[in-house]
Amino acid sequence: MDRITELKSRIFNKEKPLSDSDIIRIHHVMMVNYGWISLEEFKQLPLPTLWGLLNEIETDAKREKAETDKIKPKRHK
Amino acid sequence: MGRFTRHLALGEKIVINGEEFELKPLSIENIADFFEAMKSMSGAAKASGKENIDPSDALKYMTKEGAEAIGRLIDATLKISLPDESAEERRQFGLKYMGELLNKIFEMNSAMVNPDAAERLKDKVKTLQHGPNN
Repeated sequence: MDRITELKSRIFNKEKPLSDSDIIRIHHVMMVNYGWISLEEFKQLPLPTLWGLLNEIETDAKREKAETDKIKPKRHK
Repeated sequence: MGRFTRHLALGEKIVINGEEFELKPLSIENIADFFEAMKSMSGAAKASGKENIDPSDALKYMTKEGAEAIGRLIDATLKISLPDESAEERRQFGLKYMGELLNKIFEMNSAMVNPDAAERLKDKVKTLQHGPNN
């Protein structure tokens, strides 16, 4: 079972709902983008703010990837 | 309400029995209960055969865990929004106006209130960790 399938099954499995490690992953992504966030501060972040910030992070990541792809040397066949 | 208000997580107004209350959004601390409640609502809708089921009706089709998660979400929202009320007052108010409160709680805490929300969040986190092509 790959990682994402395993994560999904954990969310939808009523015996094992969203776990601490999922929360840690989200916390990690937020800190990579915004710097150190204490756990207490992170836990108090409102959910709509979290969705909004994840959308922004995703948009930035896609834009950066598109820019990187533009300057990458093209492979010759 | 202005178009940006929901995105600023400032809370939203709800009128219950002629009185206006301001409900504040939940925090990450409540994320597990939030997904459990969404999952239960989705399961209840399937079980009832209705696409859009009223939260009060949904309780009949819900698992014990789902109903408990919903109870905790309502209590957490009331605790953040109306901190001066006692636990018993929150419980009574939450039980009496569960349908109205739950609709508003789902509406204001999520820009993606549907059964796929959790999957989309997970995919998003994975994309952010490993890049869009992985």
